[in-house]
Amino acid sequence: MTSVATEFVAEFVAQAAEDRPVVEVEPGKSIQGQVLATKIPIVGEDVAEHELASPDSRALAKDFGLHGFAGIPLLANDRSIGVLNVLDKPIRRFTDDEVSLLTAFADQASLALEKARLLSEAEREKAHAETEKERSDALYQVSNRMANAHDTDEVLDLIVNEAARLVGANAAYIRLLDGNALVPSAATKTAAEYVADTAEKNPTFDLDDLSNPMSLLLATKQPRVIEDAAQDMRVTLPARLAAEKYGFHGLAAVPLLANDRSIGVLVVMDGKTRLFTDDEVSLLTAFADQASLALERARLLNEAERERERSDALYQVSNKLASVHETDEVLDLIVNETPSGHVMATKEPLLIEDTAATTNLLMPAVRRLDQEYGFHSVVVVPLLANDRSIGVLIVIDTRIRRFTEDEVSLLTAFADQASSITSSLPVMKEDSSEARNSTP
Amino acid sequence: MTIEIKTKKQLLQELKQERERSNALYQVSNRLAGIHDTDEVLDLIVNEATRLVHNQVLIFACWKGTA
Repeated sequence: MTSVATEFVAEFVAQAAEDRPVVEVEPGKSIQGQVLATKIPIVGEDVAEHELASPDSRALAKDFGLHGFAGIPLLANDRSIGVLNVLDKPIRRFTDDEVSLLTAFADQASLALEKARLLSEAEREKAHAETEKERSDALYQVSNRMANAHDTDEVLDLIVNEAARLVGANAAYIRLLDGNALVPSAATKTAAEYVADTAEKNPTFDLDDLSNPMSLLLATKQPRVIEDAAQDMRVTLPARLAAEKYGFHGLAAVPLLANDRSIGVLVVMDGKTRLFTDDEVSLLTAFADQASLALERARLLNEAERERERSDALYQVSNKLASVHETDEVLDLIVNETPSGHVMATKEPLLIEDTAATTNLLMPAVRRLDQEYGFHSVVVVPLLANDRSIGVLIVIDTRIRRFTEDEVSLLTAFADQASSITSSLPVMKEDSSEARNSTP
Repeated sequence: MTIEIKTKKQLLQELKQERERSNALYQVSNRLAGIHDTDEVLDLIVNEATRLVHNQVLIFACWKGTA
């Protein structure tokens, strides 16, 4: 019940509202309830003695010296929306003329109230529609940029910034799951320091420990909303301290899902205590889905690119092989295009200090693969049996360095061991086969 | 059957009173038409209703719910 009163009876109204905050819309329960339910005015000489007035109301009216009264219904579209209560100090009955005048006035008031209600509703709807439009535009912009962008980081940056802006939060970031670690992937400027700090202090966490809200989120794949991350006891102590240090309180986190698997988390944080609404969480989920799509797209593009490089390399080799007709030429090609072929042909170890800087013997596609995996220095040692190349031993290092003579010598010794064992295998097989054949 | 006979003066008095009330209602409705905020409407209602029924104290209670 919302009450408005003239100054003279403000105290009386405040006291009555405290005594009876809710008015039941039922006939016979109270004067106002009766008027609301029947939509008919009630007029009485003395409210302090009226049968429908509660003992509290009677006592209150006596205390304030109020007696004569009239209760006029406020009707909008034949629906009770309130009561116009008129009280007077003397014990007296309001005349029919006065009731008629008040009824006419109540009708005007009801119309104005209904109009204000509709207007306020329309404004609320308009604001809601505008917000929805803004959100749709932002999502559209993200999808559009994602369709054209080749840089996943750019899309993720856009997502964190737009997500924070549209839910009115101070900061947002994305962290991706890598083993037991959540690796920072994108963050608003306002969250950059916080993210770097927390990632450094708590690089890994136990995914099976469901008391950790982040583990729970990744396990359940359900969004989490925390009113105050700096105070909520469900948040781990280091995370609470970090939130306090950087002044972050209200928090919402939604999982990034790929093929129904959690691959990371989108988190938005606000500088004040607040509970993000379902609407806001739903918007964040849409942004998280966009981020997942962008990451999945990048992964597929990488895979396709790698596949293309492999195909190119195979195509180049098969093209060259197709154009030669002599066995020697084929062997020459293998020897000239690959380190293994070269070593098998020359029967000498080959050392490459940095594959990225070597053009000889390495096809471009192979060099790119080495770069992708971070391979740099290589040593290839021949496996020789009876002075015949039967294979190669390859050792790779992720550092740029030249293998020492001692190392090459050791590897050659290993290779010789391997060669003697490997070359004896067919003999052993032949022997056992002969043995089987000679058995009656 | 009692027939109330009113004097010309009484009739004029009643007419004048009626006209005052109509004017008051007209003014109130005009002012109400120009307000779009619920709280302002409620304030105007309690104050104007008090003025309309002269000297009476008045309370307005707006009930928010469905009847």
